[in-house]
Amino acid sequence: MLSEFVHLTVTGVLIASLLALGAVGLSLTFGVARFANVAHPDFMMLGAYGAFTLSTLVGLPFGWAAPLGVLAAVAVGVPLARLAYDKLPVTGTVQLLIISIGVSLVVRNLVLFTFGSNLLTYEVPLQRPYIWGPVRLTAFQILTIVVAGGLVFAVHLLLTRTRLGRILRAMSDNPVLCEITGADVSRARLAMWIIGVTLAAVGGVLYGLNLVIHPNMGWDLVVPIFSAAIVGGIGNPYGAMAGALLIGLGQEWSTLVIPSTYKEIVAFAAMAVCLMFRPRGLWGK
Amino acid sequence: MFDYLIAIVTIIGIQVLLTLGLNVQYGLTGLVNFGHVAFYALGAYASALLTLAGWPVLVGMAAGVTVAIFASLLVGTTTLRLREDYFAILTLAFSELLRLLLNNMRGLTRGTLGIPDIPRPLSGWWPGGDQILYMAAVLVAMGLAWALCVAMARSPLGRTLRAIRDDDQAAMALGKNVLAFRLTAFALGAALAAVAGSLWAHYVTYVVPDQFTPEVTFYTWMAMIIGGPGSMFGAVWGTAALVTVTEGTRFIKDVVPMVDETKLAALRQVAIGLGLIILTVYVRNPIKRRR
Amino acid sequence: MSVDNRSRRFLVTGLWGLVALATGAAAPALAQETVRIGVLTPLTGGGATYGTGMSRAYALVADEINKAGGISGRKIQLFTEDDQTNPDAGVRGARKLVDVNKVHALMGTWSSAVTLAVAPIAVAANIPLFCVSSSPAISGLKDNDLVYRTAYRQDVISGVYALAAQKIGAKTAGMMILNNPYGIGLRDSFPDKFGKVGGRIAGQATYNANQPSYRSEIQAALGSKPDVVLFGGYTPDGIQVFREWFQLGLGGTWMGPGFALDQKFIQGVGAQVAEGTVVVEGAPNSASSAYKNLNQLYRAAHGEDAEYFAAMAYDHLMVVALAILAAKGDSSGDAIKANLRVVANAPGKVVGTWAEAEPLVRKGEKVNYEGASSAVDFDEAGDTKSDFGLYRIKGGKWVLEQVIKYDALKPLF
Repeated sequence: MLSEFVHLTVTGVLIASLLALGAVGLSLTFGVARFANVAHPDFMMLGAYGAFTLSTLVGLPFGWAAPLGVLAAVAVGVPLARLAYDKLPVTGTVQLLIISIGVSLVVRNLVLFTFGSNLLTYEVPLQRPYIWGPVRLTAFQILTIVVAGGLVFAVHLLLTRTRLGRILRAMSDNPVLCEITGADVSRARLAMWIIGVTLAAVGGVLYGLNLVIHPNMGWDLVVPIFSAAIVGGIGNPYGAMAGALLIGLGQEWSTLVIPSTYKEIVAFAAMAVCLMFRPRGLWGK
Repeated sequence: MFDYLIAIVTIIGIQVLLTLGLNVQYGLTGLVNFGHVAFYALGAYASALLTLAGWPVLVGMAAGVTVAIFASLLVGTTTLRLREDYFAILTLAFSELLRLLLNNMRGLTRGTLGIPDIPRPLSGWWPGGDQILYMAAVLVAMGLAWALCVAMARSPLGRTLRAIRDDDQAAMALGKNVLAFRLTAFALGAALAAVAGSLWAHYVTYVVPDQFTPEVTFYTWMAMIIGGPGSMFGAVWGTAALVTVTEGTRFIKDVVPMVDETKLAALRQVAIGLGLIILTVYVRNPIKRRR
Repeated sequence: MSVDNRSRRFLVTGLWGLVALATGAAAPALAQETVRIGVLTPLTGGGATYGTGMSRAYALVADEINKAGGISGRKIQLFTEDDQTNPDAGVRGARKLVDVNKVHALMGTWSSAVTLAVAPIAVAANIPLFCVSSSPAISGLKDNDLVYRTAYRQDVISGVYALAAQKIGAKTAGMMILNNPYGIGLRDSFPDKFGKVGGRIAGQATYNANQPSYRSEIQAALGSKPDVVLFGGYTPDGIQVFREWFQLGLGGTWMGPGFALDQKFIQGVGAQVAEGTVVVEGAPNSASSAYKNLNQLYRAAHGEDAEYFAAMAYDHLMVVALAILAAKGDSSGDAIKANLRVVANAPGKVVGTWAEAEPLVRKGEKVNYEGASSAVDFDEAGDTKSDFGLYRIKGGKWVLEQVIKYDALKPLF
């Protein structure tokens, strides 16, 4: 029973790492741009396919394809986000939400059109795990957890120690006041997208490294990622990571008491309960 | 060809009921409901299960409506106080949660197997004319719903809903119980969706959770946006136009053979996505939100 | 919204719709003499990997027959619709194929849910429906003998798995089950059948498709180190499950169906991961002239081997074409029904390709079509029965170890 619990915990942490990379970026953009971008997890998918294209189709060694793939995803995703969300003459969060649904449909299906619906994998050899008692993790899985933690820490540093970070936090708290003070809001917003997409794209590459790649890999994570960001508190990257851990661990541990096919209920329930009783999240402002 | 047209008109009729329901919620009242398909599903399953247990279709439909109203009140009381985008996400999550439950509560819903052999009312009354009779019944239901919605939109209730949509603070200042009115609109829309679901179940004679994905909700949003949110007439012709064009693209395929069906299907989804974006931006929306 | 704008948009959309419908109406009028086959198969959605192969196979058969002069001089014309692995889309696609294109037969539905939804339409139109779905409910449909399938019922196959497990010496089995009618049917029937040969279930897990990770479920299914683990899923989830299993370093032997553990699967997981996996599949298969012919055509056109469902598709169109030929070109539902078992079942000269069969059937001789996916012998319910092969994946390929005869299943039922 204990070993079962440990197994579930390890899996939960692994999934949480992937969710965190999506949730932190979402938390940032949701907080600053003030609308729910359901296409955000699709940036993860773009990162995964970017790395795939460069490594399998173009032939670069994976060590190069991975970061360049992230770059490619950012080069595609950021202008797309700017065009769809910042440049169109739209007047409200609801409209932006609907637009984000359209964006998600377009992006996912263009990828489906180009790459087909087959599950893809990187041409990286499968690994055997390191085994410490009941804990089993491969090198890539350990890398995933470390990278996720490291990037979240980096975002925290950026938000608290840099001028850009201060502007972003100010925009999140009070956008009107921020503009009045003359802060370069437009550049900050661009930086926001770059950070958000980069985090998601890295998450996507790591996801592809550990699992498989398909056009809906991001869309399938919309509910857990949103749940993690909301539960943690929009605008707080540590909150988003904590939220991701809560959701990731919660889902796995729940299988001890409910059938495993009901796992996804945990993310729904967490989000619903949070929004009903504490909409700002556990660590939100 | 004639049979096919009857089928299309029937499907349009059912979809119009869905669009009208959403229009009451969003067009009149400004509720961003992304979980519309959940009430459709509840209506379909309730009607299917009851009619298979021997009850008449109208009882099944009434049961579906009751369950949907109950569910909408449950969901609404807990979520309607929230910001509209949180409400949207929660309703989406609710519809997916319902689908998860339908897939797993095999004892009640037969899960992923679905429920076949649902009785089709009016069959056998006019030999050879089953489809036409059913289409007529659907059109009658659609007409009644439309009339009801138009009447409601013109009534004091409708005016209050629109006021709440445009400026809920002002409405509250005037002493209106905003939450109660929103719940009413939410429940009404859910009821219409449930009627649509019941008609669907008896038309296809088979229900399975996979029929009730968010795609149905987004399709309904498209139909409503095309016709213009807030306009009941728009709900009708917007739906008709969308279904006609979607079905129409099948035929282009016959005349101009494409290399890969999968790619064509993906392109169709891209078109729907682009349609959503373009229409949202460029349809002048009667809803003016105080920003 | 100004009235002008609205009516203009209404008019434009309406006109486009009418144009589209009109072209569609014209199309059947141009095609009176052809044999029209409606292909309704998943090109998107969960079954997309299989539906694509199936639609290709149908096209290859139609092409081959048309090049040889058609069926009694009538060319085959294919109309394809994507059922999106979704009953709603399937119904609309079927309506269009039946009402507008006036097809003489429907074939290709893969998901049991779609087949069950579409069957009433075929029955009402008095045309046959050929599916590859496994739900037992399909055998019991009141279908006027119009619904046929070339796939095995999932309750039969669980008996086969039980015998296969016994043959490899397994006393305990785990189950890794996909949450859908096929998987759940397996989960419900396998323990009973395995019990009848003295085995016992030790660990199981049910999973949903499209989960980000299956680690927990894999650990649950293999927790008690069973002698063999039954995999009840499809290729896409199979690839992910096996990769995660390998990277968990848990060891153990898997057993699963041929359509899931096919070449695409082996490519997806790599020969090392697939090594030693037991595959249960219908036999005969690769030995038949039908399969060889199909593979030759498929490789030439698409550069890879045809997989299991594509082979079934090949068989669907072949038996329908042969039935129509035996009916001297009559493509009505009644004619196809009357001649189907005549051409597909024994007795008769064994044939597998159009080149082999056409001259014989044309002369009125009795043939027995043995297909690419199985012997294709239809029983009263429209199901096929056949023997099974127990294969092991060695060096990235299936190696036949034993044959499990259909009759050996009797004591289990």
